[in-house]
Amino acid sequence: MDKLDQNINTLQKLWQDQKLKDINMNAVIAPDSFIVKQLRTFEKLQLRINAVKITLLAMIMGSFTWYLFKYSDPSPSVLLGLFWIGACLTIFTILYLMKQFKASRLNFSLPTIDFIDLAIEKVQEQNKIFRLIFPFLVLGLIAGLNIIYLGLLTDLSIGIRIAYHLIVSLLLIGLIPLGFKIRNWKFKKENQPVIDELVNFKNEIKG
Amino acid sequence: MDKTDKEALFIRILNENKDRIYRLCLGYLIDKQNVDDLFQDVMVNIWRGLDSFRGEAKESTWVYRIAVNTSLIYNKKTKRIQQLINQQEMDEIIDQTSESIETRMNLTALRKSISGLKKQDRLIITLLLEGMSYQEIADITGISLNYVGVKINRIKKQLEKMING
Repeated sequence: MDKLDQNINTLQKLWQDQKLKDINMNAVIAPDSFIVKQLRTFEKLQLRINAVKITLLAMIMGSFTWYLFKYSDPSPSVLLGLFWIGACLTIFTILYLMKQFKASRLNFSLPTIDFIDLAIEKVQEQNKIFRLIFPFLVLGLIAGLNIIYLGLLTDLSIGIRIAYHLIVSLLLIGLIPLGFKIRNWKFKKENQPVIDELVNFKNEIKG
Repeated sequence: MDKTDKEALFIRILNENKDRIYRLCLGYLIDKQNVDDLFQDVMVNIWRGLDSFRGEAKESTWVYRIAVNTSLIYNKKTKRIQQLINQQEMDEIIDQTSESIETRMNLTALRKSISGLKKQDRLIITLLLEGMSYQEIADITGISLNYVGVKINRIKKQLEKMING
């Protein structure tokens, strides 16, 4: 055994024998312990966050419907439009949350190199999910609002009606690049540094 | 696995590995607050991973993989990594009543030297200090056995130079 190995053996003993006062947790490690309770709470936290998001969306949708019913006598076309928008928002929310949930679950028990690859893939996937689903949501909203306008604007001249349809459609189409831009900015700010560091780590660990 | 089994398994794994996990966190990060937070994150990931633990890997390898990978991600969350530690911080972690002054000084020197290594080297040397074989380190990190050997030799020399220098 050379000197280097002997030194490592000494260091191993020193390292493993160190007594750490912060992890004397025997008192708290019991079936109903604080840490287990905390973990149960943590598992519920994400569900609660998503529940809040869904409630907010339902409230917005509810207020919009209430407003329409209060200030107009909704025709079948308005009702159909509302139903369509509601369906689009529901499908978007479910798809987005499902895919986001799937993408956010990292398998921490993989070997580090595989874990890094997976983590990079998942971070990029988070961005792809939005890019994939968002245009369909906007197109759905355009269709829904145009159906509502068909029933709402019956008293106006054809020219003004067309103008309304065009303006609302163009405004919503403008949301697509705007949504992508905001998403890209957020991605670059929050996720790109993570990807860069993971790539860097992987390259260095692989030599 | 039902809830009671999961909790029982978690508590057993935690009891058997908590010291090692904490030391790994200690080797990777420096300041006490971050070490405690990272330790909690590792616990959470072990808990979440229990449902999919099928025993394909050795339990200790499985636990270490989670600890190492959590450390990687944790490091992305915190920008604040101190490069040097002082005696006061060391005293907050080491149980002074049961360590001699000499041991404490040696440990401080060791931890200071580890903190001077690159992040990936810190993880590897911590695994080595835990007494893991090259094969186990290769299984945890996913790098080839030969390269683990090369890397460890390099780190050992660097560490020795730092401790003696």
